[in-house]
Amino acid sequence: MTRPIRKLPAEEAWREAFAAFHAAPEWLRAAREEAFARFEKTGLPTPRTENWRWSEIHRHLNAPYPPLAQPETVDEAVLKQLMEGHLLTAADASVLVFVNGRVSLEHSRLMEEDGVEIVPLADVPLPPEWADLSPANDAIDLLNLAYATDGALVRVRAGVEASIPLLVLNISTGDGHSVALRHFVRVEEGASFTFYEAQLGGGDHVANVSTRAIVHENAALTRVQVNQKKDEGTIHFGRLGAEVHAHSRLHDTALLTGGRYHRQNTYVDFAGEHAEIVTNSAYLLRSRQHADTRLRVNHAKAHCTSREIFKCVMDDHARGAFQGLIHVAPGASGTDGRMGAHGLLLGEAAEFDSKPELEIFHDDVACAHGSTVGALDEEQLFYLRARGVTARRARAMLVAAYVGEVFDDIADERVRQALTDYAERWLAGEGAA
Amino acid sequence: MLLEVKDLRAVVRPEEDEGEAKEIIKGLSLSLDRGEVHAIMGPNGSGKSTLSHVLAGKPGYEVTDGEVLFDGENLLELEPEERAAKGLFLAMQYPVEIPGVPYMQFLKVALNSQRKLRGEDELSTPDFMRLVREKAQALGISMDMLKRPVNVGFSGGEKKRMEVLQMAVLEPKLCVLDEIDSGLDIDALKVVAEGVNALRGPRRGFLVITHYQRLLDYIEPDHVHIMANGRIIRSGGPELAHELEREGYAAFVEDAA
Ligand SMILES: Nc1ncnc2c1ncn2[C@@H]1O[C@H](COP(=O)(O)OP(=O)(O)OP(=O)(O)O)[C@@H](O)[C@H]1O
Ligand SMILES: [Mg+2]
Repeated sequence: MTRPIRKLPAEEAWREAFAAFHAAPEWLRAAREEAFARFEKTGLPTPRTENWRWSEIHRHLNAPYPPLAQPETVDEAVLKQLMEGHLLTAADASVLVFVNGRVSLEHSRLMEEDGVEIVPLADVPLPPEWADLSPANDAIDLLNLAYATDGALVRVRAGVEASIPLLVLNISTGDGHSVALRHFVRVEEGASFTFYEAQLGGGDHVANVSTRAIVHENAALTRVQVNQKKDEGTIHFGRLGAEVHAHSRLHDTALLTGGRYHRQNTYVDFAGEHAEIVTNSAYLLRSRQHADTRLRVNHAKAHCTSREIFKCVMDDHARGAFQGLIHVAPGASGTDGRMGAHGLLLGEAAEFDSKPELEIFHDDVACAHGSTVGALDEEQLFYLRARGVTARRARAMLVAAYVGEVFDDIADERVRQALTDYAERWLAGEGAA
Repeated sequence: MLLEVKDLRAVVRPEEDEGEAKEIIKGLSLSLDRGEVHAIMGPNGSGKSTLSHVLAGKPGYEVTDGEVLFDGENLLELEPEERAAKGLFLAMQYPVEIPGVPYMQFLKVALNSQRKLRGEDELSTPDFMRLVREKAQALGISMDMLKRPVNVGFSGGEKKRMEVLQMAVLEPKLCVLDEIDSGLDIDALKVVAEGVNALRGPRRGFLVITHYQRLLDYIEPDHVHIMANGRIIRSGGPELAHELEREGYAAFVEDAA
């Protein structure tokens, strides 16, 4: 017997709002309608939906979060604090600021560079033939397209090794609504680019930020994401959908420490041989924060390499979950994939669930996955204390050491240092920005 | 008196609260003054490392009786880091590996944390670097070693040499050396002993735990104690170590029984 499942208040609100919802650009209307129709059919995932079993979204989406009709303005002093107080300020980059779903050029600072185009989605008059905004087959991404009010469209032309990175600040504030941003980054043949993303702000609302990246042959993309939403506040859906072509490289790093709930969907597809991806993340969670990651690396082509390190530190009642999959398609000879998921429990009520998986349809591959969970090592703690390091500092040092390898290969030394230092400060209570 | 241990009794609590607490230190007394070197020798399992752990404040042990005064102050009520800041240093029998923490950073945090606890100013990075470079050189330790994570992949001898470096940098009042000679080749033993001897002085005391007379040829003790079954069963001068080397523990342990 199947009982009808009551729809979550958030889902009902999203279903009801679409008919009256209008947002630029006009040319996206048909795609939005199609995405919304698909969403209407599938609805939000439930705990029984594959890859959502640990997400508890029924708990978090138990209130209506209708889309914001007009971008709410934010007090200048608050904005200033957010823009100056985050972890990526060390990056020497162009800055594109989105406030509650709309770009704020007044707060942005774009530096021109030949061969690099950066435009806000809502301001693009005609559909650019180089941008692919199509949604993934996923309820949250369908909603994202249906309700996206803006985003950064980035094109790095063939052969251009961009020297100025782009820092995108996704700022959202307030209670009882949702905002959606849709970013797109295209790095053409032989080009290289660095893309930083910070999730900032706070309040009881839903932020849905989706980034699609295409890295063409011999190209390289570096991406660093931080989520520093105020603790106890926001529900954040983050997505990275990346397509990497032959001989290209994607290096993705995340430090997620903010908000009440963060669901990260990272999907990487190899679209050519001899490509390489690294995706590493560190989660620092406390009180009742919950972070939930779905990572899928699709080795569809031969001779590609992937490295995934997931490190989750949980204090108090925090919960972390990881569902990772390395898929090796038939014919993907010489695949080299490694995935590790590790949880460090600081609080007795903290919880970690992890399921790294391999799905291999080819013989000649070298793949490995592993998962560990544990507490701080008492012998290490004592050794540090016996040398005069206070208990608090010793714990903080060990936490920073635990997540440290996640940041190891960040090329910009100052950004790497900022993230490492933060990891050490985090336990001392100097939490979200 | 720098260190006074009076009728100390200590138990170790088994994990998970299962089973009886086991008494390991069974009424041990010892007095050690500034400028003195005391050696403790004793059979495996007699409680030497346990004594050193109790002195340093390692969790998992419980003192059930007796007292320990360090520089006249009740040592047992201090946190491990406070004991360190007051000048107690334990060179461990098994130094711990700490992946992800570079040695240099560890040393700097340790030194400055101690200084802070003592109400002193922190050392600047250049001053600290100068200090470490000088001490490392004297012990034949390359600066590359200090870039590596604490003790990770170090050989047994390298770990011990690094413990002596820490001691030289932190300049404690009392050094408890738990088998600082184990795992050392003959040349390394000399280097380590020289490092220790360089720290000897009228203001500093040493408690040297060892199994071998050889170490005491290099680090000459003023007093030698024989420990068995959680107690000191005999104390004497340096000649006691020679006697022990000739006759073995059995004779002493029987005498005491
Ligand atoms: N955590 C513990 N749980 C149970 N027994 C313990 C624990 N720690 C020490 N012991 C026991 O206490 C006794 C003394 O151990 P200790 O390590 O102090 O000896 P030791 O004199 O240093 O020996 P060695 O010369 O081999 O280093 C041993 O029987 C040991 O098994
Ligand atoms: Mg021992």
